[in-house]
This record gives sequence, C-alpha cells and structure tokens, in this order.
Amino acid sequence: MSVERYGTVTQAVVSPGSKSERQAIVLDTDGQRYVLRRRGGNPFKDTVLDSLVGKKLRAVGDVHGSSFILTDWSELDA
Amino acid sequence: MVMKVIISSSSLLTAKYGARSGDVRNAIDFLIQADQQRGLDSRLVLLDDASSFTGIPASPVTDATNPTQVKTCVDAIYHALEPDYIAILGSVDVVPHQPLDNPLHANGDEDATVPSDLPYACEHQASNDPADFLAPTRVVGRIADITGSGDPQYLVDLLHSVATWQPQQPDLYKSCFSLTAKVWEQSSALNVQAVIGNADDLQTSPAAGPSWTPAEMQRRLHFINCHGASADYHFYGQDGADYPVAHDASRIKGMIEAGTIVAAECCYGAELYDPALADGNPGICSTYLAGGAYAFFGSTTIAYGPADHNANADLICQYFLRSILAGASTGRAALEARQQYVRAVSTVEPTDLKTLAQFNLLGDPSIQPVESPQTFAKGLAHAAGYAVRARRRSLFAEGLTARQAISVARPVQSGEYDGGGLGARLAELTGEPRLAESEITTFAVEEPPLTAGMKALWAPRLSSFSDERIHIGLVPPDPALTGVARTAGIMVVVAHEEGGEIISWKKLYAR
Repeated sequence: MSVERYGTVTQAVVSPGSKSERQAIVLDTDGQRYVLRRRGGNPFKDTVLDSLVGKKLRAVGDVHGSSFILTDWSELDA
Repeated sequence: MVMKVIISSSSLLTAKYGARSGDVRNAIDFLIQADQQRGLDSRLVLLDDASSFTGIPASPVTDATNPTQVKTCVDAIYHALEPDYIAILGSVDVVPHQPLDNPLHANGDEDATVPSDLPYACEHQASNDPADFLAPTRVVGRIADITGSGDPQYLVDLLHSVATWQPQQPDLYKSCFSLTAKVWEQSSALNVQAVIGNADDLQTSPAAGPSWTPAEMQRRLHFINCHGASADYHFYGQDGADYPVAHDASRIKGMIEAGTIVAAECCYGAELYDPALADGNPGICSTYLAGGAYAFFGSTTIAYGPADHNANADLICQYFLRSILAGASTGRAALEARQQYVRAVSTVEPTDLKTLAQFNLLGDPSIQPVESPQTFAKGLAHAAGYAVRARRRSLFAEGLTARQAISVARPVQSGEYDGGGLGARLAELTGEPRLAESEITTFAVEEPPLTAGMKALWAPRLSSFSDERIHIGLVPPDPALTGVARTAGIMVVVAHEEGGEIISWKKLYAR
C-alpha cells in the first residue's frame, strides 16, 4: 500500500561488512531512517537520488523492510 | 516406502485463489500421484484443516499466519509421520517463514529479522533466537508460489514441473554458468573451482551480462555471486562505484532448462517479495523455478562474504552444490550444506548465525537432480526406502552431534561487560583512530555443550571459554572524504579477546 513520508535526504553507510555494504541514499524522517530507492531504479547507484541529497522531500511509495521504494516525490522548501 | 509430507494452509490458499483454488488442489493431487509412481508416499497436510490430521495427534492451527503456531504444528506433524521430506507448499503468505532475530542488526545491518525456513528443519521448539537452530536434522524445501498473486497458474505450472522431474546425467552438470561481481572475482573463482574443478568460464560484471546467450543459460548448474536488493528482479555487478545490472529476470524467461540448479550468494536472492513492489516482476528465484529449475538455494536477506577468500555465503552455497553433484536430493543437499557449515566453524559468530538462518531451499526437496549410481535389489519394493532411512538416521545424528561440539557467540547485555575503554584499545591496536568513537558490540563465547562441565575433570586449558569475547565495531568514514573515497574508507573490525587481551582482529572493507 502506497504511503507518504516527509524527511531529509542524506547519505549513510548501510549494512557494514556485508555484501550490500555501501554509501546509500537515505530518507531521515521523524524517528525513522529508510534506504531510498526509485521503483525500477538501480538500488546501488542512482544519480537521480544522488541529486536529492541535502533536500527536504515529500516521498510517496512503498515501505518494504528498511527500504522506501519511491514512486513519486516532491521537493519541499527548506 | 519413502515418505514426503506436503504442508500448506487451506484457508490461506482459498483466500488467495478463491474459486480457482480447486486448480491448485488438482495440481497437488497430480504431484502426489506422480510421486506414488516413483515409490514416494506423499501426503498433503493442511495446517488449519482438521480433516487432514488423521493419525496425527495434534490440533490444527487456529491462525495459519502465526509463525509460532505453524512451527509447533509442523513439529507435531513431523514427529507423528517421520517423513523423509518436508515440502512446504506456498509462499510466505501461505506458510510463513520463521522470523529469527538478526544478531547483526545492532551493528547497522538493515534487516531487523531474518525470515527463515531453517527452524522447520530443526527439533528445537519455536523461538526467535537463531542460535536455537544450529542442529538441523530434517530435509526441508519450499514449493513457493508468487506472494500476493491471485492467479494460480504459476503454482499449477510449478507443481506440474515438480511432478515430472527426471534425473539428469552427471555430465550435464559439469558445465557451470558462473557469474560474479568484479570486486568478488577472486573469492568466486575459488568457490567455482571447489565445485567443478575450474573457474575458466567465470563471468565478471562489469562488463558481462545481463544479456546471456541461450547456450549459457541452458547450462544446468548456475552459481551467482553478485549484489542483490530487496524487492528487485535484478542482480548487480560492481567495480568501484559502478553497479551495472548483471542478471535480469525479465531477460531469462524461456531460457532456463528443466533440471537447472542454482546457488545464489546475492543479498535477497531468495526473497519471496510481492511483485507489486517491482512493477509486477517476480524475483529471479521465481523466474528460474518457473522455467523448470529444480532448485534455487539463496538468501532472504543481506548476505556476507569476503572478497578474496571463501567464508559465509560462499561456503554454504559451495557445500550445497557439491552435495547436489554427489547425487543428493535437493533437500538433502540443503541439509548437508547447513550441517557442513556448522561443522566447519569453531565458533559460531554473528555472521555465521545469519548465514545459516537466511539460506533457504526453494524447490521440491525430494527431487534428485543427478542420477544416482546406486542399484537396488530387484523385487524388493522397500529397498530405496531403506537406503533413504539409513541416510536420514545418519543426518539426524550428525545434526545433533555437531551442535554439541561447537561454541556460540552470544551478545553480552549492557552492563555485563566492562570493556575498559575498548574502543580506544581497538583503535590503538588496529591503527584506526576513528574506532575510538565507534559503538562496539561485544559477544561472549559459550562453551560447547559437549565439553561443558568437563573441565573440572580433564583438559581445563582446552575448555577455558569463560573469558573469550568477540567485539565488532564499525569504523566510520572520514568526514572529510566524499563519494567513492568515502565508501572505500568504511570498514568493520572483528576482534577476538581472551583473558582480557585482544589476541587477533580482522578488517572487513567496503566493497
């Protein structure tokens, strides 16, 4: 079910020491951090998401485990 | 006679497929009849249907979505029938995985729990602690349909594929489709060599894939060591900051041959996600099985493995494939892989606990892909059954005894351990100053049950486990670094302590 979240996009190390360890793009909301992905996008390297780092976002999509799979988003005024 | 029990849920199959659930029942009946012709006595037990419990002194579950109820019921069915094979029928929305705690979650591993079928293979009662499931003794596999889909055709076709399996000539499995992320080429080459004797045809991404030739896909043995992501139908290669698509479920449809066996080390390689999360595309594991693959051995969650040698995901996949090539059924190969993994470690560390919990077998566990050289006495209908029973006895004993001989690292609760400036000590020893500010997680090593209490009698030096500790800490990247350099600066340190002294450590680098 599609949900809406508001937060700030940052970079963070996820899954250290594992086969998925990487510098990921994350969405920090009140009390929750999600690893951000675009639906159909590359979960490990996505230049579109890279360009959102530092921005406040209204994110729409699916929460799946620790991931937020984006289907739509809009930037919010800082 | 050899016996297989097929375990599913009446209410959840009906809720999922509605008026067409009859198609699934017909397909199950077809499988049971086909098994009968092979000398396999298969029986369907519906966890929430009392009418299928004849001869089983247990009650049906009242909630088929409740993992504890399901595990308890599966145990009762197993003890009543003592089947040689347990085939779970349905995806996680029909028969749930058991949600085990992830011992690495506190260290930044994204997975809060590890969805697992391992508990169904163990005698221990329902629990969330993966350390309770280090003595697997049962042959278990899952014939999984598509999560969240109301169309039964995938499952009907899969059951038909399972019912019509044929043993293959051993030579067919000598040629392996092997694929690795470039950063793990060294580790993958060692692994493929250990399985088939050479790694001459190991494909690396980049630049290989995701467009493969029919000849490559038609090989019966597939080994894949790439990146994977949750709810994603691709696997990815890696070279530095480049993560190209290496394998794509949408490109391999119609290219897989019946009898294919897959071992995939990839994170989330065997995750049974709802395709609605991926624009309607089921995972690579489901695509392989739809194509006629007999088994897909993979991980439900984030997996672990080094770049330049073999450990964790490498080893459990290697053991699985070697067992298949030696003539085991897919289910026995999964059991032997788990048991061999337990035997191979001296201390079960948190990464070992997660590895054992996360690798599941997708496929009918009774399929024996490689033709067996064994010849049975003519006219003796039970001969094959005796042979299977002898192996099960041995595996039962092996599972129980291996657990008795290993030590397990368990997290130390806050306040139980005074590390005495542990971060600073580790920083100095390892030459990683940023470790001083890191959060360090400490694990105490428990004595193997077999030797517990023996040290007063003999070998006290060998039994001195009381003060052994394992510390795990993430070294944060230098804030001054950015981009790829920042990623390359990340590392995890795993340190061993005995008698209050750090005696060894290893550094796991970012990939």
